[in-house]
Amino acid sequence: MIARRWLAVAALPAVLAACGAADTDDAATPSSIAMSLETDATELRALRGVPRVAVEGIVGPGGRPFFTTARLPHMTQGRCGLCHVRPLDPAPAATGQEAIVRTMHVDIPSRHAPPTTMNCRTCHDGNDLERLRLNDGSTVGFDHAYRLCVQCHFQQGRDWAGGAHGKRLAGWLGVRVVENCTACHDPHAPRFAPRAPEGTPRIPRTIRNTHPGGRR
Amino acid sequence: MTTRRRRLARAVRRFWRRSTRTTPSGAVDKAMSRREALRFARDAATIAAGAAVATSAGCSRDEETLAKWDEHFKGNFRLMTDREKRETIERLERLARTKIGRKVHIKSTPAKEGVLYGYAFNIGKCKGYRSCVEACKKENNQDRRTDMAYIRIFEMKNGKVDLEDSTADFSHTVPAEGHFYLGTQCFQCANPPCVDVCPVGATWQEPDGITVVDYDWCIGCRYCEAACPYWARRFNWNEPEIAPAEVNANQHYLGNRLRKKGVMEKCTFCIQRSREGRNPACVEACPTGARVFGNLLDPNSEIRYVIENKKVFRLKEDLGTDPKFWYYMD
Repeated sequence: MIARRWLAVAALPAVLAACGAADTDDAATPSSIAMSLETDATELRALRGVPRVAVEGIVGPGGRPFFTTARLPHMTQGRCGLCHVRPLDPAPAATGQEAIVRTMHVDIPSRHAPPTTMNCRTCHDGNDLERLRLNDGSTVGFDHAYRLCVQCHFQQGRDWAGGAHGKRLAGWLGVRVVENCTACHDPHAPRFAPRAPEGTPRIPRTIRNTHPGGRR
Repeated sequence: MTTRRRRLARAVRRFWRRSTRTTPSGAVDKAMSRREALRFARDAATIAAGAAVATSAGCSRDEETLAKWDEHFKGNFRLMTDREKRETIERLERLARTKIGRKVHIKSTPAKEGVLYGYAFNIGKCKGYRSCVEACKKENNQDRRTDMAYIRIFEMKNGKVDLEDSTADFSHTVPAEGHFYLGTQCFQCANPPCVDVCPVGATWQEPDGITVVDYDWCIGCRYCEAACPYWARRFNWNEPEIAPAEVNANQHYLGNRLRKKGVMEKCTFCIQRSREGRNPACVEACPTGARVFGNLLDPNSEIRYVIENKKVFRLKEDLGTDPKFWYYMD
């Protein structure tokens, strides 16, 4: 009898903990967020499970390191080596590589720069197509694509590290995870596509719609 | 019945004691007598009618009437004690549940120490997609019937910033050639004219710089709407209509909780999100990263980087409203 009573007492913290867990799981009550501003370790709930990599070679404001979103989990193509058993041709124009690309990789647009300025090998490593080649000859994985982009787009790179370009995920507090360049821009066609705007705003009062053909 | 009569007698005694309370100077304190009297009337009515029983789906009809009564005679949020805040929030949650049949969570998270919110908008990056406008409506439980929106995206001709010569209701494919896009919303001015003109103190600036409205204290005179040089305030001409399934249940007392007919509302930088460290819904929705949000008091924040390193300007800066919303370009 006594043992059973003690069992109930022992089970109490577990029950309370379960209640607490249920409470924090409710999306409407994010009470678990640590509010200390000093700590960079604060991680917002929305960031949980977001694949990320620590940014290499670039630091944020105040010399603080930050993270960027991983690219590999989002890649729809890959395993390039299955077809590309030989290295890419170093002089593509001479062998008509452009034409080959347009037949084999018809789904990949080529609107980054004219073919006279850039071709596949400008960014992709000819020997290992699952890596990107930097100007100094070294290679980086797709997760670190930003290192390739900022070689030319250095101004954007600086703003990206500082926070004026790109997009920070989840919130303004705590761990800083910024979208990778390739998360927003298609590297093969970096310009944002024109499209129809969302919604149909109703502007109740302007000179134009209260006095059609009036002023201006 | 006898119990009920005894409770009624006790309520009368309590009311009598309170209404004839004397102050240290010897004067009889009549300041609260009206409110006390109303509360007494309410209590008496409750006891006479028999205590209402709460049901699982919000509250019963009697309870709803009582909760509405209490809501009607509650004080200004800034003058409430913690207990009164808890009680009103509990009532509002029950009323909301009765109304929409879903549980909502209303917070009263206070401003954080050492935080002053600032916002930056990249006019070079905005393409006029208006994803922010739609996200804002969903997040902040705005009226769907009148399609109320806090954010307005102006399409402007290259070369000048002219609000009169631009449109905010464009429907063609964007971005349009030879144009740029400039979004406006509440700029959370450091010197807000809307707060100055409010005759009842229903709107004020919080310590973290967000200007908020106590929807239950607002009398709907719309002075603030007239005073705002940025046209950032909105008025509820009708009871806001939202499909119950679309109601955002994560709410703040000073933010996106359900409003009523005849009160003002405005952008609060998504107070229900920002005070938890999250970005406002517009920042999160922007597909081009044209929106930057952060703490102006943190020298390493992104917003500080923008202000210190980019060419920035503010709208109608000559008015001296000191908006905490900067425009910049690449």
